[in-house]
Amino acid sequence: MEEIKEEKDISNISQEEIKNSEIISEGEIIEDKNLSQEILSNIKEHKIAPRPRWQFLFRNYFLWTIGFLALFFGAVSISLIIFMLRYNEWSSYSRLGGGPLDFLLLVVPIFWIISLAIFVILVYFNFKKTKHGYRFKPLLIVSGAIAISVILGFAFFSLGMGQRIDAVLGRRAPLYDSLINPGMRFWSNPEAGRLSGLLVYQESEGNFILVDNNNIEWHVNYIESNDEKLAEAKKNGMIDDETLIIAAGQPVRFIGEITAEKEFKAKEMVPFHPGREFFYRFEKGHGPKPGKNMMPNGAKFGGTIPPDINSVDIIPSDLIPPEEATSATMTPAGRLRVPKTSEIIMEIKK
Amino acid sequence: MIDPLLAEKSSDEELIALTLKDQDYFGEIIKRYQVKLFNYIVRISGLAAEDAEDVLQDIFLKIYLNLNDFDKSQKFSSWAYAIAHNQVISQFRKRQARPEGHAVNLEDNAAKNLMIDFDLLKDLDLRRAKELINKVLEKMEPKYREILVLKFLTEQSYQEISDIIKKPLGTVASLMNKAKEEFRREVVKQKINF
Repeated sequence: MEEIKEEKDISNISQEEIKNSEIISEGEIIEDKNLSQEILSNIKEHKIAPRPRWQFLFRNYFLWTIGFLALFFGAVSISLIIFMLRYNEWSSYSRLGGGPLDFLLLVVPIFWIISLAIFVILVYFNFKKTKHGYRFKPLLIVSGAIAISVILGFAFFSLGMGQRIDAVLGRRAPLYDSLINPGMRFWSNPEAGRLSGLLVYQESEGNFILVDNNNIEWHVNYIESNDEKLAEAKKNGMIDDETLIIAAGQPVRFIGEITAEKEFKAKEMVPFHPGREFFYRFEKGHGPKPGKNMMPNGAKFGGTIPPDINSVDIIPSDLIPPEEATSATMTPAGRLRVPKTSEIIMEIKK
Repeated sequence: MIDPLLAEKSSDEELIALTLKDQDYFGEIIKRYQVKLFNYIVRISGLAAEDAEDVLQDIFLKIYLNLNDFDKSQKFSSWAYAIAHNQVISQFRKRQARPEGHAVNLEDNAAKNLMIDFDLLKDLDLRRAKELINKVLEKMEPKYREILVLKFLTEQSYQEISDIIKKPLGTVASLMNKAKEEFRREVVKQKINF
């Protein structure tokens, strides 16, 4: 109270300041108050005990585990970004028309960039919540997370992880062709000169049967020796052992034109890496069940494929053991039919 | 029963270890920090004494509950202030209000520190200087006021402030610069002649 009296002597002090001074004078009473007794009684009365150490350790380990997992998946995203960029057909996209925005949407792996961003944000928030996370600037945490993801991502890519994950997603992930790899839809537009699908049979030299993602059977004419771009791609190492050229059971994509109904003359075969296993999802046992609306365009599987095509299991020809490759027989329609017990259908002999 | 001599002689960190064995030792921690934390609460929140005391009790309960989470690599005082800082913020979040600073009875040292740092007139009467400093602090943005309170009134180092407000050292330094700028701006705005 003595303090307030003193303050009143100061000529220009406001009423508000006097009020505040009163508050602080009250506050100083805290020093004399036996707060410790009050709190200790409360603790004893309510039997309050310090939380056990394991709970804090568990929270800490949990945060670090989630952080490391996010970092791992960020690195996986990077390996897929590298895979998509490495094998994207930049020149084909730019040659085949479309505006700059379409071009960007096709060549930039937006899905994986967004997923990387999500995992980096997750790393950031987890790290921030760790014991000493606040000591680091956000920019440092984010750039550190990106740098580690990039290093690990390159390592994963060189181990073939990007390709393997794309293959699994291509076979099974819903919305793969619209969300994860929109380039698939770009290559399924025969009217615009782009055709992709699964080669199921070679009718004669240069003539193939291809089934596209709408279950439409196309007769494709393609002479490999006339394809200069393919020769160039081979020369540049864009085609490796895993990218089989022309063989039944292989996914392919062509540039060319429609010459008649369900007939396509291909001038060029484009190497097919990201998304090449997308068409395998229609294999028996791996693909959609008949009648289910699981085709990318909403069509029902099993509706339009001719029985002699639908009844076979299609697998990559590089998996066909040589001794079984000859066990196939020809159907009356001139197509190769495999006994139902076999897991393999055919291999085209050049 | 606790050993009063042992309690008095023990460091804060030793008291924590003792408290985990016998809760009565927590009374000594409360005694050491009740005034410091109370003043801190009032300075950054402007709560009335009764409300501030309630918040203080909650803070001590939180400290007690989280004793096993105390990290020996930092000072106990920083840890306790950090809990107080969070408690005040969550208190205001609950009320959806912004903390308003209150004029406080500045310690002489704190006022002198501020006067030296801001190059205020040294021949100004200390009591008058304290009033003017309070007036300026009161008008400042809470985040800037808090950083000045921590630096000059509770005399924490930058590292300790970083541990209390959970921001990187660089951010603390930049906040401090901005707080000082705002302090000077407020002095001009209020036409205060130091």
